[in-house]
Amino acid sequence: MKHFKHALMVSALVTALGCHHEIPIHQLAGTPNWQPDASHAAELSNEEHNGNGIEVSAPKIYDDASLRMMLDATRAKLATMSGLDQGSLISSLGNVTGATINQTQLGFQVLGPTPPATSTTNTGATNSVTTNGSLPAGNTSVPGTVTVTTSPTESTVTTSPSAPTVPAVSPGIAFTPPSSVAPSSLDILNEQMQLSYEMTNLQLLLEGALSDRFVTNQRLIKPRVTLGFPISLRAPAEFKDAVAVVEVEVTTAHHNYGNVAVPEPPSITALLPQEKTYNVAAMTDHMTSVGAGALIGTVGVTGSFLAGHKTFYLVQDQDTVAMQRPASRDPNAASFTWEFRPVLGQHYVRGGMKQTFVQLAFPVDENFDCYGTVRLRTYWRRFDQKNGIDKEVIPESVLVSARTFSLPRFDLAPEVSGVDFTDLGDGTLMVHVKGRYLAGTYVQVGPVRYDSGKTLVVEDTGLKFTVPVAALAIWKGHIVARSGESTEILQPSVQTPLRALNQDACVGVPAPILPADGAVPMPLTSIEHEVTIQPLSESDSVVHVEVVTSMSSAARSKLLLLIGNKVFGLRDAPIQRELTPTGVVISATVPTSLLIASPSLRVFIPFWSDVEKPDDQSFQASYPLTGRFGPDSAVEHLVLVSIDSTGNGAYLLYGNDLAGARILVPDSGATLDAVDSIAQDRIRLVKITKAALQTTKKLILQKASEQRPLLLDIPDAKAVAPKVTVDSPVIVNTNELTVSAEQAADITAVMLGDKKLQWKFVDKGTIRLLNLKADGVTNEQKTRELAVQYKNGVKATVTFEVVAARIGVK
Amino acid sequence: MQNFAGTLSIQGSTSALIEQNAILLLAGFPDVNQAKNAATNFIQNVKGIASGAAVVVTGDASVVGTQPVIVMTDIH
Repeated sequence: MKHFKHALMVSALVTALGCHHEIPIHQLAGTPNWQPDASHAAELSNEEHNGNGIEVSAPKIYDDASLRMMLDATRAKLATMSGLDQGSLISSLGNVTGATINQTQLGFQVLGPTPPATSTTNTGATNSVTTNGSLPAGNTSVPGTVTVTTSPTESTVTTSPSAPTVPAVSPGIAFTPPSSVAPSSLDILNEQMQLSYEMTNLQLLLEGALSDRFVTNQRLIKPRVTLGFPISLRAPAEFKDAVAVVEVEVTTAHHNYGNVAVPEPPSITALLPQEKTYNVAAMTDHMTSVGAGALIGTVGVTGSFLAGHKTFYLVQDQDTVAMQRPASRDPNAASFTWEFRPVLGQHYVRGGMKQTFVQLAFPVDENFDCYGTVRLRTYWRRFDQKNGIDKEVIPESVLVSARTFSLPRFDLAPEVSGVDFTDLGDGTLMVHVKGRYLAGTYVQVGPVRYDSGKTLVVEDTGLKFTVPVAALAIWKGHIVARSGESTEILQPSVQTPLRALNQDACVGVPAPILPADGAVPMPLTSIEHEVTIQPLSESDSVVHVEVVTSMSSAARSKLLLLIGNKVFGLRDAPIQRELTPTGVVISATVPTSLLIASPSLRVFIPFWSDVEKPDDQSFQASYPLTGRFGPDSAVEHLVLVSIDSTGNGAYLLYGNDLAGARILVPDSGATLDAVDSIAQDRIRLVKITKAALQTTKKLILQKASEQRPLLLDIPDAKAVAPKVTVDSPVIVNTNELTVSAEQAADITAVMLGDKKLQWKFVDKGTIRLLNLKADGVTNEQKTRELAVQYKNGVKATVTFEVVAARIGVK
Repeated sequence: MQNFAGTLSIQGSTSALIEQNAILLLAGFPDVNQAKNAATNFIQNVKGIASGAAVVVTGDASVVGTQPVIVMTDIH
């Protein structure tokens, strides 16, 4: 009988056995570079003899948002997978789903002795020739040669019967099962549905339960925290065939939202790893084979029996197993363990560093600086590796951590330790936000997001991005952490103060004491006196702003001016800054249309104030120009109203601050009047005589004394010719014709070329032409153009066709 | 409130008064790191004082951990 069993293993531990002779070691004296360390040796010895070989460091806090994103990504990927496969279902229709093989083999052989055998040998006849020599001459009676023939002989041999041999055991009959055996479609569907359900289960597990997220009887969502436990394992010799256990007890902070009557421990939302396994291929082969033969007298007998059983399968050897423990005595505490088991046939747990994680949800306010406390226990438990069964705890190995660890909440809001910017000369700034930021941090300015690797450069010292200064003038920038917490991009001294953290409050450590005196006031910035706006040209104005501030001269020289959505003060729109003992005077050339469209201005330094607030702050001051400009304000310009019959022109002057304006050119022949009773600030009536119009093409206007005058175009004063029409066509040889003419009373002549025609006034809109045939106007079929002259010199022309006859009705 | 005379040292975002071996924090910021950044920002940009200048700091001396600090309200 043969019986063997073996397993294929990933690795094997070779233990060398042999004689062991302990050689006494004396205390080493050391070398110039190395010295004996007796105290550390004692410490190691103590560790060796009094520790259980399991060391767990203080729990590490991980960014829960990061873990959440990874789990969500896994869940999303899982959601895209389907356990159902139509192809395999259809192709499996009609499959042979099984075969039954019954094989019985019985062999029996009997061999007797071999019978006697006889063999006959015939030698055949033989001839011999004899020669007679030296015969006498004349001899005739004796022949020279004599032939002798011998008769054939025959021999017979008889063989005795031999002893029988033991017959060989006959081999089994080959029998091959059908190769096309496969599960049916229904079986495959069933299996695929099981896989789909398992995927759904995993998705739900990854998403987490609502009951783990909400505080009981509250609408509060529990903050989550991810803890990591660095575990160092060393298996002492006495813990053979034992599992190392790390037990963690987490207690909710004293101040929590849990019901006093029904306390709420932290919820365990994820344990990682839940199970860590090795795939092991196990093969067993049970084979029984019996064969026998015998010789009985002259008969040989043999028989055989064969029975066999072979199994090949995969098993999973569990290295790490996470388990939740029963409710603790403390109703606010939750407890769970990780077990580390010997695997692959080894008797000891594999030593080294292990890292485990747990995600917990605490029923505490998310602004608390600590969520709760952690207490650790380590011990060993006997383990039946053959059957994978946990056995009793080894009481002598149970140790509890001397220290209770606090679970701090880390404020992931990015911190801005400084802001610099560089003027790129095209209205944009290269901004450098100093600080150290976690991966995934991005910048948001208004609607624009600056992401790492795209428009945001992430360096060890901070972040860099390019932004239009106009955007910074109207929106605050924010640094946004991947968790969504954000910080305004402001200089540190004007940031909103952060409160001091007290992350050890859960373990009774008092908060660090730091004097928190009143805030140091930043130097106020204000715009004093009146902002002066002086015209520079028909389209531009010069704005002077007097800023009063006690900020440093370096800071004052960085002040920018915002009008509308245009920022002045960078290289693309320079301004003048004149430092004064009390501040700075800013002068800028600004399109007048911009002032009219946006009648307010603001001075500011980027990143020193909340630009989204209109009120004056440090490094920011606003000034309304609504009194100076209104909806009826306009860039100064003239509009022709009329030219009277004598050639004098009337114009409307639109603009701003016109009440005190005066006309410098023409120095005579032009007047500036009020329009009815309308205020003279933004509209005036300008009258210019014909003589002045003939010599002047531009009007020079000064809005106030000592102000730069404006040069305004005078619209062309040429009068528009009145409208003159004739009922065309006109029939040949028509002698009189009625002409419709505006201002008919002012007509002085009607001309055909150089020839003056006869006409008479009918009414203020009509004249009648006379003697047309004789004057050669209608004597032939032709197109005629007549000129109608008016008193003011204006000529109107009228064209008509002279035809043979009128056809149809017009 | 006291006055501390000394030499200003600015390295990165940290300002210190050399003679007192004390880091300067700006009053009104309970968070130490923010107070340290704010102090340097205040000194450099608002007051326009450079490293190496002889200054007089108005504030309170204190300790954060084992590090001496001056929680300042003004500097000249």
